[in-house]
Amino acid sequence: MPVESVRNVSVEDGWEPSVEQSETLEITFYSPESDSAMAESSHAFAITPLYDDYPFSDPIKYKGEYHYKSQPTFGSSSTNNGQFEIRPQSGLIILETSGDRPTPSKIISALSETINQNLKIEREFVPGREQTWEFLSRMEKVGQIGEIEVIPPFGGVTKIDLRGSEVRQSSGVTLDEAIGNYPIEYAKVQLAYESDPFTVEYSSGQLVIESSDPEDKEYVYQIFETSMTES
Amino acid sequence: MYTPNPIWTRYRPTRWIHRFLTQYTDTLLFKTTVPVSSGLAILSNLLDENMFLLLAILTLFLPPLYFAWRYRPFYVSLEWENLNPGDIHIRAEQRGRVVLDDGQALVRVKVFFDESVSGYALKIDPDKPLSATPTDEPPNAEYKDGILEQKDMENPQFYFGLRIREVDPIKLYEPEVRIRDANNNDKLLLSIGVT
Repeated sequence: MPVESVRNVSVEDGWEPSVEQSETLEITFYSPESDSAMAESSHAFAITPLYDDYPFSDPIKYKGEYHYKSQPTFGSSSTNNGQFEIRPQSGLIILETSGDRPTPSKIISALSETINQNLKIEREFVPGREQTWEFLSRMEKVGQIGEIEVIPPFGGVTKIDLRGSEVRQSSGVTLDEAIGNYPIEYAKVQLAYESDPFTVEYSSGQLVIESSDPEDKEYVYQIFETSMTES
Repeated sequence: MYTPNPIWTRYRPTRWIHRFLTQYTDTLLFKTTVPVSSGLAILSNLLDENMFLLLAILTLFLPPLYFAWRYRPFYVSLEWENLNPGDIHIRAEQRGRVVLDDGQALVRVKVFFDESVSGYALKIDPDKPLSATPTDEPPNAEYKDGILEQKDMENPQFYFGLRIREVDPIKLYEPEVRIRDANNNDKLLLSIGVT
């Protein structure tokens, strides 16, 4: 299952998508097929708001693909191909990778080095605690939470007992005490947008969306962006 | 006997003294100088030699004075706890170290600021082959360029997860992840040894 890695990106005025190349990475941007290209750039794709609370007006995104080839001093090189989206309104770049190696962080580093004019990609994604809970809460309204793991103030990473507020285990962590207060380490939600239900897993800046329908993915991205943009 | 809000928490000087004592008594310096001082005092009694008594007093009181001067001011306390399951991690934690499992480790960092402090900026400073990132921003705080900061003190006591990763291969020495006070000359507040 491909993994979507999220990072913050700041797109400065004057940035234009173009073919970029470095020792390890080759990047190409897609163009929308229709003749009615966006005024600013022929590479910008219009985003159709799918989520009710989506706050952006006239949102656009840039889509592209990368070909990564590692150049290790010893051993054979490995290749990895994938896609990414740059969404300037929410300031996010979402990288879709498959396979464990190289790690998404390595690819993000390479991306950052390769596209270095007027585009700054942060190496790590550190969201606000309340915003992560906002994301979960929004997903819960359009789906069902399967599992949540949090870091409580004492003890190890703990799974939250979601079964019901009446049944409270003596050593368990309840949802009430965790919301907004404890860092979320992992969450699994089941959504059903238009088509068949699919699961979404979230964990430290990574989403695994179990669906091949691009609209399902876009829907989840929009919920994510809406939550992260709230202050 | 547990009293919520014991009397010493109400005044800043007593809170600082409490923090100083907690931190000092945790050090190796304290743990070695006290027995040495006791030994010298006993010797001075046995041998009827005042010199030893003087040395005993110096060995007992000079180290805390040095510690107080070196690590002042005592307005903040940081602790870290291992979150990785497994005996090897528990044993390593007792030695003040964290063990990387498949190049990664997760710890919980707890921060206790004195309520009189008006904002903070914590710099997370890992040694070169490592990266250390908070799992998220505690409420009211912002993380940017390796610094976790809060402009006002709405939330003086908080915690966050810290993900430690091996970015470059660790060579001979054992690297550390340090947390420094960016508002106070990068004063070292916490140091986590990484194996």
